[in-house]
Amino acid sequence: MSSFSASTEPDIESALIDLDGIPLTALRGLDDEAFRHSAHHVVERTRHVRARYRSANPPGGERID
Amino acid sequence: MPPSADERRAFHRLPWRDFDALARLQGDEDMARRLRRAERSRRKLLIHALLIEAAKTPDKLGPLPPLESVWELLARAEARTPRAVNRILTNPYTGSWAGYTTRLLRDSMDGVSPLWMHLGHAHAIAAAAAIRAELEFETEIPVWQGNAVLPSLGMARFPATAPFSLATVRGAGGRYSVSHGEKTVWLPISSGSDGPGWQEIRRVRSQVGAHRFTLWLDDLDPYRGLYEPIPPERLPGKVFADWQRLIDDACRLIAAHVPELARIMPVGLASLVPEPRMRFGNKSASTGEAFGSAVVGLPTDGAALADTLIHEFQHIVLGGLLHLVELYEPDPSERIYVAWRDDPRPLSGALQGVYAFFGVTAFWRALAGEGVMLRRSAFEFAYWRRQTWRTLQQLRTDATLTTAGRRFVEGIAERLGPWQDEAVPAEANDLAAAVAQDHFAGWRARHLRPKPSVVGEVVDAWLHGRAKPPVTLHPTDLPPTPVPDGIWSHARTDLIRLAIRDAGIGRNPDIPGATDADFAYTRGDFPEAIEGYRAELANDPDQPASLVGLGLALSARGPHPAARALLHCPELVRAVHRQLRTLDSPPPAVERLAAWIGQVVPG
Repeated sequence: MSSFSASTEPDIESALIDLDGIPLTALRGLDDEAFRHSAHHVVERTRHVRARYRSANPPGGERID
Repeated sequence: MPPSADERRAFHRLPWRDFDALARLQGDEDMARRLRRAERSRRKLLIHALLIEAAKTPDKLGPLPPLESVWELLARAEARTPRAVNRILTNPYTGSWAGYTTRLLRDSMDGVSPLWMHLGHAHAIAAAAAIRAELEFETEIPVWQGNAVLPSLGMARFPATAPFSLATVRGAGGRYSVSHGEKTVWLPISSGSDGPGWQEIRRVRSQVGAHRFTLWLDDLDPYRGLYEPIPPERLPGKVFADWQRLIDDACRLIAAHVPELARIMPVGLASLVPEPRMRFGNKSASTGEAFGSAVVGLPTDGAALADTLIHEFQHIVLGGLLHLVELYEPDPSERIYVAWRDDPRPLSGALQGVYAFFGVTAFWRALAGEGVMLRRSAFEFAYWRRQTWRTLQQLRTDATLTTAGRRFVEGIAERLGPWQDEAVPAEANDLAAAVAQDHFAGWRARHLRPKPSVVGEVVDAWLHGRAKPPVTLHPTDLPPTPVPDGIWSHARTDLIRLAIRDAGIGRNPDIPGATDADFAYTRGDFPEAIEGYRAELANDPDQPASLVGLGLALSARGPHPAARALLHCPELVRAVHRQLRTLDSPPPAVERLAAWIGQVVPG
């Protein structure tokens, strides 16, 4: 059994702003601090993706994050 | 006081119980849907940033219409049919396009095509949404070598008069066309078919009881690859039919034996990028930017495909989680041994592999438990539980894991741990142990370097005729080398898998790198294998596959000091023998040296 008590813990809050219900017309107008911060977060994360062209590894796969 | 705009903003959240459930392979459809929703937010943020940034520098747009028209068309499509835009945002390659083009724009670089072509793909995305929403509209989209792709729909094919150009997409009266030069390609009235000049992105549907699987086989989208855009590679009809059959077989196995995965997988895995068949191993790959997609080689049978689909689904889930919660500190150093790759992996890759093969282990465990393809399933279960556990044990104490990362790993361990003791046929366990030992010893020989001072002491002791080496052999503390010292051969493992699958092997000339000794070893003729490897080493004493092969064959006949050295520290045997070969006197046989070193190697 896990020693963690998942039922009583507050949720994990991500740095990703929830835009799923935000129409695109409204999305264009968003410019508050939270939105800018979240946008910066995802744009910066694209830097972390690194291509490894050295992968001549026939039986293995490749996973890029 | 009313809340500020910031305070009103909602961020994607994840209950810890969902996090724990996903770690333990007990996720459900709602959890996968939440990950998918988060991905749509992520893509909206990237597209927003991309369009805003690109609009600041109109000179980078080349001949494209203003990006303002992308916003307008997407907004019209959304107002009419919100799910049309959702569908486009859910398309995995919207994510990979957004990531790739963001990097190019930031660095003001051209990619495979000029930057404006990649920025112009936003028009193609908007046009595809407009077609799905059945709008009347007109816009221009990029054409790469004559190919005008409408993401998630298909591709219009034109004469490649220029490498990079524009085509006009029109929607009027319920019909849609793409025009380039003098030629106009009409999209078929109903989806589900190709037409003159038009190739559709095809879909495979598979229904097994209550489980419905729908997978796109995308051979057209330029952003479907891993690193950079790739040209279309249309599957011939016969190969597409092979995929359909194999997907049916795989879905049947998943639904019958791991129904909990059958429920959640269709939410997370939506699109496959088909690749040619590989004879050995299940080739597959994926990227976190294309949530929902995997690049998959045509498998040999349904079980191999089921294994791969589960593997890639696990990667997709973990990729989605990583966009919500940090599981490790950035550490690109390639330092961890994993059984599923030949090169040392960074922690991020090792964790991805553990989670993917945790799913694979669960699949083969379920089959073995029900006696399905028993020789094969028992072997694969025995092998993957052992190998996944081995790496997981290393990750558990890794300093770069965050608290959440450690909790995730412990969640996996809670289920994977007890599987280690489950009964499997002795043959499966023995073969799994031998294959595991083969790969690890081979990895040591190629990627580990003993300390030069230790090598020097051992050489000196040998030259002075000492009865034993002067050292107690500790693992080297030098980091593994990313580039292998010597080529890899997987012949023995390929032969063993073939024997398990096909119930016996003959001499098969198609197995890459297989030697006579390898054939002898895998059919259990150990004396002949030993002689064969001795002959190989007499010819080339530096060959890792032969060093390890001799160790395996000797070990199969009982405890042997040379086997211990060749399997537990082949890098030291190799390094010492290399040094002895530089001296004037003839070097000893590798086996003799290994037996001498093996006296101080624990069994």
